[in-house]
Amino acid sequence: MYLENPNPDVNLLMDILSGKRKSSDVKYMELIIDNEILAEYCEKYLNRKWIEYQKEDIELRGKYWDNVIECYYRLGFSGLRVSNAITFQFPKNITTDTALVSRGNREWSDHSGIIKDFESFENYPWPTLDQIDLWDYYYVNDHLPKGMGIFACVYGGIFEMLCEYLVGFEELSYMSFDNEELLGKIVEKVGNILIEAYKRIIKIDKVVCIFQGDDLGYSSGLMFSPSFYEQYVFPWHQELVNLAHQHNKLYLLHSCGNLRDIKQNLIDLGIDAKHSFEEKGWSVNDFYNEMHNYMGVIGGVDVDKLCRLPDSELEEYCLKILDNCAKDGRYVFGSGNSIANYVPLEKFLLMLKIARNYQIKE
Amino acid sequence: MSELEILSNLVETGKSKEVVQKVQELVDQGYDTNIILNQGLLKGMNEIGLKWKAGKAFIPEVLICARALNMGMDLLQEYIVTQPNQKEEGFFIGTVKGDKHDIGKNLVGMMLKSKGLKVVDLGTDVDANAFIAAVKEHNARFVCLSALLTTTMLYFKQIVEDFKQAGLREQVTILCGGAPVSEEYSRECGCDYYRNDALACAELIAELAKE
Repeated sequence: MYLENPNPDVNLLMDILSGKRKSSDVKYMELIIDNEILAEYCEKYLNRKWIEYQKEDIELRGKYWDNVIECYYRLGFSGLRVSNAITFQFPKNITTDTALVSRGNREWSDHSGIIKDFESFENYPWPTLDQIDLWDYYYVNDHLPKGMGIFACVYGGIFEMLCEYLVGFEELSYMSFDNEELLGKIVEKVGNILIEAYKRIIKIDKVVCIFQGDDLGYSSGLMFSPSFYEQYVFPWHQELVNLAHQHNKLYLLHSCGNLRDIKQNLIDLGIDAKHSFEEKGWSVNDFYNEMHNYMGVIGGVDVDKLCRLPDSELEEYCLKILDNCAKDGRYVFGSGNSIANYVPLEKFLLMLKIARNYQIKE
Repeated sequence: MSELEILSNLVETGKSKEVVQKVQELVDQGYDTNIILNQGLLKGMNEIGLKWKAGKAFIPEVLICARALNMGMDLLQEYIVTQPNQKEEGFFIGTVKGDKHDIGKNLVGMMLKSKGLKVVDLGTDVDANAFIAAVKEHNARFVCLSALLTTTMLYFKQIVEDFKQAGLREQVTILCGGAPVSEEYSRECGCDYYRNDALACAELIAELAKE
C-alpha cells in the first residue's frame, strides 16, 4: 500500500470527531504504530532505510521523524501522535519479547512502584520544567505535509502515572486507604507537571488535539472505584479538556477497559472522543450506539482479531464495525488499541484497505 | 451482631489492625480456631469477593481485605497445628513465559486462599519446564496459567503440549485466564477450563478439588 496522492485533511478528521462535519469516505487514525511495524513498512514499501530514534543525536532524530511522517502520509493518515515531552524515572521489568517482529526484550513498569512514603516522595527526581523537551513536536510541526496535524501527548495519564509507574497498583490500592494525604500530594505534583507541559505544547501550530492515554479499566470493569477516579483523576482530565478547548482544539481520551460504570463522568468531562475498545469489554459497536451523541468514537478493531482472524473474516468483522458506526458520523476508524509489533503488517494494511474501499451509505 | 460477624466485617472492610486484635480476643475467649477461620476471616474475604463479582467492589477493596485476612491468619496460625479446611495439595499458579504481569494472577491466588486452599505461586515469566517440575515434585492436580498479552497467551499451547510430552497431561487439570484469553482460545490451546475473573476461577477450583 502506497498512496500517490494521500490528500490528508486533519481539520476534517477533527470535525468528524466533534460532529461538525461528516465525510463520504472513511477516515482513520491510530494512537501508536510501533516502530517495528513502521520500519517494516518503510523498508518494504517506501524503499527507505529505517533510522532508529536517537534522543542524543538531533540529526538522527530528524531522520527518524522524516521516515515516520512519510510512513503515516503514504498510508493515508491525516495526523500522528507525538509524545514524551518529559520522562519520569521508574523501575522496569525486562523479559524476552515474543512478538512477531520481536524487539529482543520487552519492558514493563515494575508494579512495585517507587514512591511509598513522604520520604521517597521528597527524594524522587521529579522532572523540572526546564527538562520539557519540545524538539520532536517542533520538528514534526515544521516537516508535516500540508493537511496533516499533530495529536499531542506529554506522557502517561495521571492514573497511569500512579498505578503503573510511580506508586504501583498494589501500593496505590493500600495508599488510597492508608495515606490519602500522600496520595493527594503525588497526584497534585504529577498533574501540575503534565499541565505545564501541555500549556506549552498546545500553542504549537499544527497540534490539533490532545490525545491523552490513561487506562482506567480492564476488560470486565474498572480498576479502581468511580469515587477514586472522581477524587484523584477526573479533575486533571477536566483541566486538560478545558485547556484544549480554550485553544479551540480537541481532547481525545485513550482509555482501556470497560468504563461503563463511569459513562456519565466521561460525558460530563466534555471529552471530544474516546479511543480503545475490545470485543470482550465494551465493544466499539455498543459504545458507539450508546455514546456517539455525546462524543466521537475512534477505532475499535479488536487487536486480537486483527492479529489472528483469516483475511476474509477480518474483512467481514471490519465491515460490521463500519456498517454500524460510519453512517451517522462522529466515527473515525482504526485499531482498538494500537498497531503493536505483534500485529502482522499485512493485516494492518488490509484493515486500512478495507476502510479506503468502504463507501459510507447515506 | 455476633463476635464472628464483627470479625468478618472487619476483614471485609480491610481493617487489618482491628482484625488482629479481634482474632486475639476470640482466641483468648476460647473460640475454636477453625470457627474463627471459617466463620470470621474467610467469610469476610468471601463477602468482598461476591461484591467484586457483582461490580459493587473494586480490586483495591479486595486487596485491603486480603491484607487484613493474611494478618489475621498469621496470628491464628500460632494457635493451630493444622487447618482442617486447608487442602494438603497445592494449586500452582503462574504468569507464562514472556509476560511479567501479575495483578490478575495475584488476585486468583487471593481468591483461592479465601476458599481455604493452599496456593503455590510460581511467579511471572514462568516457562513450561517450571510448571512441569512443580507438578512432578508435588504430585499436583491443578495448574492455572495467566497471560495479559496476545503474544504471551500463545505459550499456553506449548505448556499443554509439554505436559503431554512429559506424560502428565492426564494427571493435571489446566485452567487459564487473562485479559486477551477467551473460552474459544482456551479450547484451541487444549486447556481444560477458562474463567474470566479471579473469583470464578477460585470457585471452579474449589469445586474441582472436592472430587
